[in-house]
Amino acid sequence: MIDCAAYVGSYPFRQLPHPDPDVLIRVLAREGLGGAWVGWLPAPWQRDPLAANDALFAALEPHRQTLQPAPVVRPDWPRWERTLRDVIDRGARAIRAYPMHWGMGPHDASMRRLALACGDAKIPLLLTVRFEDLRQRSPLDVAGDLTGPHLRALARAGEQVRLVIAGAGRELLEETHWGLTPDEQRRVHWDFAWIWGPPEDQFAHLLRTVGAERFVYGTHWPLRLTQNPRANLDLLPAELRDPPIVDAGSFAR
Amino acid sequence: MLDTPNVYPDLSGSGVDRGMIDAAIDVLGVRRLLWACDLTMETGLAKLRALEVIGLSSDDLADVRWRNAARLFPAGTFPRCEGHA
Repeated sequence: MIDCAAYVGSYPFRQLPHPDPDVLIRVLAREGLGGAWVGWLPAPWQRDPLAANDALFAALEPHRQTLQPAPVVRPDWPRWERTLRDVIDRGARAIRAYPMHWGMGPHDASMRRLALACGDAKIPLLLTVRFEDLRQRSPLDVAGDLTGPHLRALARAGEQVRLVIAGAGRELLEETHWGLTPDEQRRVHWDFAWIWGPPEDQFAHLLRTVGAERFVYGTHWPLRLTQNPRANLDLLPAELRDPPIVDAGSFAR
Repeated sequence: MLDTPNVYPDLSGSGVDRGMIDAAIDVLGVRRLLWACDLTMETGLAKLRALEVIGLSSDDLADVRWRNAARLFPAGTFPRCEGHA
């Protein structure tokens, strides 16, 4: 099983203890995870993603057996198609995009083109709903959470689209999932790091209704406690133990 | 809170993210913190597990997990801890 939602690098709004690749390697081993898709944490707040991608590839280079790059492609910038080809050639396993940070509305044409291009290249488009809970978010972090209309528009863009959504809660997941056709629902996978366990048992509810095959494993390291998703799995009711969630590492290129 | 030693914060809350427990221990020390889960039990379990990997001694770990609470609450509150705190 791999972690589809890890980062390295500093966070603009809070000091994080050693957000470095060699530490992530040890954390993955401790958590029993075989690898991770890794993004560059400062990237969402930088206008130009190219330097962030270079920093990401350089940081992960000594650890590429375990840490797979998830670089950024910004589709409203010139020559983004070439950037997409370049990062795929350099070994990207997923493409990250941050439409809220780039001021894009739900039906932004460039985001739609990126989703389709990623689909054509058979590489997942990885979208992050939020980095921190709203209650503790810096007043300087004004991007807002990713919305259901954004996600539904991208899931509907084309048959080849594959989305991985990190950091959604139950409300956003249900708003999106139940607004899609069954074919469109199968284009979307979700991590469950922000979905509540007992006593509300929202994760158990979603496993019963949406299905375990829609979920992948994500820790949101180095922002969140990596123990959260494992605890969520361990506290499932007995009849739902060891749900057949999907290993994002199996998404073929 | 550093200047109010009669205040004991707990670790509950779903917004306790990575680095925050370490920071609380650095500032307040292990004798001031109480483990708690509030409502979200998976975040409570995650924090119990996180406490094990941030470099605390077994004695410090016991303080945060249960011993501080056993010292603080009235006798008889935690019968299983009687005589161990």
